Amino acid sequence: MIIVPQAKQLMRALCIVAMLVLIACERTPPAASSSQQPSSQSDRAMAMLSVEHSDGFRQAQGQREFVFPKDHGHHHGYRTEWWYVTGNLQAENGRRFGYQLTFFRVLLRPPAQSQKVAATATSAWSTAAVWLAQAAVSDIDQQRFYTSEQLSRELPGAAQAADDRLQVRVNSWTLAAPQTDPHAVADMELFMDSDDFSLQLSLHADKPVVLQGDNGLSRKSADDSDNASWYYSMTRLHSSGELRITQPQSSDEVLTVSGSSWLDREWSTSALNTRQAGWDWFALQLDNGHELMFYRLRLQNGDIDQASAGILVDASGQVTPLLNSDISAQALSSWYDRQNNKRYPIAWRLQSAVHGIDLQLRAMLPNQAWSGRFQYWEGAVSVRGEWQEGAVTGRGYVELTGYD
Amino acid sequence: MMALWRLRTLLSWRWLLGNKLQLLLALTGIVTGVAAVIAVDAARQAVNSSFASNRLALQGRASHQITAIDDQAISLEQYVRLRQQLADLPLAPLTSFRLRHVDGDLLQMQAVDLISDLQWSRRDTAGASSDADTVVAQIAESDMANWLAGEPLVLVSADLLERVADGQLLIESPRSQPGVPVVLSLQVVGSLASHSSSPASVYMDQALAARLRGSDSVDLVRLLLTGEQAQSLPERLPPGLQLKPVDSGDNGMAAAFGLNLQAMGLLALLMGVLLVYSTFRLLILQREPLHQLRYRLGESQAQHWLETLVEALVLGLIGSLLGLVAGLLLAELVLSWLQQTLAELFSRGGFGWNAPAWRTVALALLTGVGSSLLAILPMLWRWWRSHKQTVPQPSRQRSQLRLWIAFALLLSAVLLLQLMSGLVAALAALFAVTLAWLLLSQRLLMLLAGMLHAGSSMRKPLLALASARLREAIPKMTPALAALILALATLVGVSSMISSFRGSVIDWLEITLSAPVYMSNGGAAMPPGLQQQIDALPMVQTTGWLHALPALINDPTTASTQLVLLDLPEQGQQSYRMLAGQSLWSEAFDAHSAAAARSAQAVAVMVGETLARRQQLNVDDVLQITVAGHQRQVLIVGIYQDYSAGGGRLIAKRADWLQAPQQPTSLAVYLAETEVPAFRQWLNRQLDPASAVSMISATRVKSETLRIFDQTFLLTRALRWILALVAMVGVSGALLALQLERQQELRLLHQLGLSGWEQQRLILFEALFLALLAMLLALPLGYLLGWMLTEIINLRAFGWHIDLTVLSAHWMLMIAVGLLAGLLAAAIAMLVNQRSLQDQQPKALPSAALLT
Repeated sequence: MIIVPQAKQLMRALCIVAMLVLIACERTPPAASSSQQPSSQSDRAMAMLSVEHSDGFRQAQGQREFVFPKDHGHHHGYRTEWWYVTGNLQAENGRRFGYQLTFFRVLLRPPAQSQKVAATATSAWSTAAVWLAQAAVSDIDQQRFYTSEQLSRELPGAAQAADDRLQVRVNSWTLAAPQTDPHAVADMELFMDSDDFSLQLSLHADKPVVLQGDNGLSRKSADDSDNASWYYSMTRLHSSGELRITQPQSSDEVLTVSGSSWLDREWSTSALNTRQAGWDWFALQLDNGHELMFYRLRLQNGDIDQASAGILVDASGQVTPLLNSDISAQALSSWYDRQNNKRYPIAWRLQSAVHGIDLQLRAMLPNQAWSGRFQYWEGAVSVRGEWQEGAVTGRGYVELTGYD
Repeated sequence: MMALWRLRTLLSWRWLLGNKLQLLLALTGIVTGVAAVIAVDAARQAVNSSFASNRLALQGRASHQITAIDDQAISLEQYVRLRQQLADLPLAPLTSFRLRHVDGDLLQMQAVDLISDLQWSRRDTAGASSDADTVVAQIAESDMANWLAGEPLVLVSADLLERVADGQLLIESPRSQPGVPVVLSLQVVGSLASHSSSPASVYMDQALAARLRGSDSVDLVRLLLTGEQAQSLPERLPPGLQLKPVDSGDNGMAAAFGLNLQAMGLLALLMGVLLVYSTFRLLILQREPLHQLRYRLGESQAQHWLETLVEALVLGLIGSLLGLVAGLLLAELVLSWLQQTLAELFSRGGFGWNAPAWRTVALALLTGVGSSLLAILPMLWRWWRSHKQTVPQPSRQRSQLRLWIAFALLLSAVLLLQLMSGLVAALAALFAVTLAWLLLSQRLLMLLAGMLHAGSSMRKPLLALASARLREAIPKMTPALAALILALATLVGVSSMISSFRGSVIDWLEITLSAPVYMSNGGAAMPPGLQQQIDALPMVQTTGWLHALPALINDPTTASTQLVLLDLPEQGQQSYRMLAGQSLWSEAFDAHSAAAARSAQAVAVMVGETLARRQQLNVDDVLQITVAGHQRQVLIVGIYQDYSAGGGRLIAKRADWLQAPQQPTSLAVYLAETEVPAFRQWLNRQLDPASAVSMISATRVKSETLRIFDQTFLLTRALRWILALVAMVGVSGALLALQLERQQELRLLHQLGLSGWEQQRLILFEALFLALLAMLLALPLGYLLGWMLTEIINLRAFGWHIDLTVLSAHWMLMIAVGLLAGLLAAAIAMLVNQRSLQDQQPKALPSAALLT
């Protein structure tokens, strides 16, 4: 059985569902403790993602043919869908940055009801979908971490995605094919703007699209074959553009930046297993032209879920799946997030005897933790180590959830 | 050396621990003093925070709003463009419209974008909630998806619940044909409390609003901006839109209340300091014999002073912490007691206070430890002046010094009031006058006690003895008595201020609201022909015409100033109480000022008092004002009493204003009170739901104003009692301490033939005499405080002229409290004396305790 990568989708799904759960539970009195009721926010989110809550939504199952640029657009009927870009950038003066820009679309009602809304709606305000966009910039050399987010109902022109090409928007934040080539597959532009920072990048894929899992069907659980999502990635996107950082006491810094990004696209309806406590996700771009993605699903009992897996992408774009047994991840040091009272690992050793890999990862900035409504760590890392008997360096992004 | 010092300190503590009652009294004195300060301060902070929450709830978080330049709705395209261009700013749209209930009444519909509001409200984490927050929170508890989809789900204001049947609210569709109503059913999923929503209001998501109105447009977009953002934003707006600041809506009454609480906080601080000072001073004086003895045994003044310093620090610290807890509990008690009333006034979030901040702890320490240290300063002074002087005695020199300080304080208060016009100067003057009076109190008390003694000597020996002992006690009791004087004076002063304010507001409402019904159109012009229709009604006697226009005077800060054009019938021409000059409708004006206005080529106007004071305007001043882009000259012919909030008003006759607008923005409707319900029914039937015209009866304005006034000042009234209660406990403690000190003397009197009953009467007379003296000194100070709060502080803060009302109820209240204080003090002292009399074994002298 092929076990496909799914950590990222789990995290994103948790974010989205946590948002919805919080919306739904906003200011309600805490429910009485019960063994039948999930006790924590994560538990509730996981419960929401389980199969019994998925009735009426489309499920990812069977086979499908991916067609681009259409599959860059949004897919009807699935409960959640996201466009997820992370990357490492460098300014002309050598200053280093990490960034993240993500768009989530959440369908609040099953398609049948949503279609009913569409049929009866006489207003653009009537909608069955909500959008969440999050952006972060890690200023490595200044040791600063900036975050911003946008929340919106689906509203034409303000929060929407095209369904035939890459064109996603939440207010002014966009991820879209260039205006000069609206149906491009390998080229895209992103833009976001906030009080603290703004980012405008042009992205160009150096490698073809990678279909995750079984020809794009990414199963979510080794135990339950019904839990799955449609999932593809673009693992190396050459990136260039402009980054603005607001300076409190002086004029804004505007920097010309370039680097490499990673795009994940996924749409699904059911996601998590309630036995899972959280996950560590690693997406590395190495200087030898390879990419490595591996996630480690941590179970409530402290074990590692056998669904944990990853991929290797070589310089030509060929993909090799990684099984849980192929690779080990060991935390080397940790950082305490005082604001949220959580401790996150910030250095790791990834080893794969099968593939001759021994890498050491280190967070380029310890504090890359999201605070507020959703608390998790996602940030830029540097990579150094051995790759099939040769020294290698690189950069990447790591995502950590479910830590206390 | 250190060991010796420790030993001596230990000996000092042995005395305290061996005289547990004295120790208890000392701690009680410090605790009550600190508790008074903390209770008032905690209550003040809770109120301030609740006022902020309340204002937020009523106005929302918005500092600014974006509207269409033509005051029409913002189209969906414009709104989307805004969202694209201002993504860095959280935007929250709002739509208001009216629909008719099936019974004919008009209901106010309010729509928000639930998701925008959810994100928008998260910007502020203060825990407070706005009206929109409450709506969003309540909606979020139900199925959000259905709301976003535009299902007919609503929340209603509490007053509409009686019209909800089977969870449904029936309204007429806006698309109904005349005479053929189409009924729509809205599912009511919840209601907002009456104090947290406007009456007859229905809350919904924009999706439903759009369906009901058949339009995707919104009325305005709310924003929360910093000053810098507000400056740069207009350049970023799409064409056709404008940025407006939201009226801060400062409630004058609330501000007055806050200011008076601040003044009370100052007085409480002074009282607390006096109580703690008095307590520690008594403790020092009680041990003078012990100190003398130890001095003769070789102890130096420096050692004694060091020991006392440590004692002051330790007792002050313990007393401060206990006082902090007691004060917070006291505040909690009062706030809980007033919970229901205050919650109704303040906010749906309830009325509460936060955990004590460091500021509160610092205040407690300042009062407790600081005042204890202050009490040992005279000792330090004497030690510094002369190492040989052993027994501190009240000297004529010190008395003279106090006198000079008091006069200096009085002089500085007068100078402050004369030379400085600010509010801080007025509060400082209030503090200075109070302190001066208290510094003078020892002399005055001695004077009064002397007169009392002279009067009582001729009557009964026991009274003569009591008054003689009183004179001896006064120097030691002065600080405690000063605290009581201050508490009683605060009772009188604050009561006078509240009564005066309330009376003035009632008078103002009575004069101003001459018509039983007032109508407005939300600031816009009334529909053409409506006034004529109303005039034609048989039930209506006549109508008054009013049109308000924004006016600019001199500088942009007066942007919210209004020029009000009036055409009043005879019944309404006496609606203004003139403070200076003449009314526009007086005969004197016609004869004299109209001619002056003509000669100055200016329009005659009356100016509200608040505006006149802020702009320093006087009668006969000629002003240049800008109205609707045109500059005009106006001549001020009178200044009228005006308690309304906002930027102030100028009033001119409609006939005098060239090109006055045709339609009024408000109407005063004169009709019999009994006809008001019928008129309301007629108006509801007559009005188009799309119109914003509303009516309110003068009776409701008056009752609501007074209800809010009374609720607002309820806490102030309660806090007066805290001060009085604490002062009573403080004075009782001081008297008891004095009584304990005089146990020897009483025993001697007993041996000389004074019976136990006579001793008890002696104590009672002493306590009542003390209370009487305190009352005599409190009464003038109380009225002085009342006068300053009313005539100076309120006037400077708000530009409100308030006539000071002196009511016999105030001083009768003060007498009752003063007598109660005296009786309480006497009862405790008599109880202790009774136990002493029953004790057959004579107690050892304090000094003897040490010797053994």
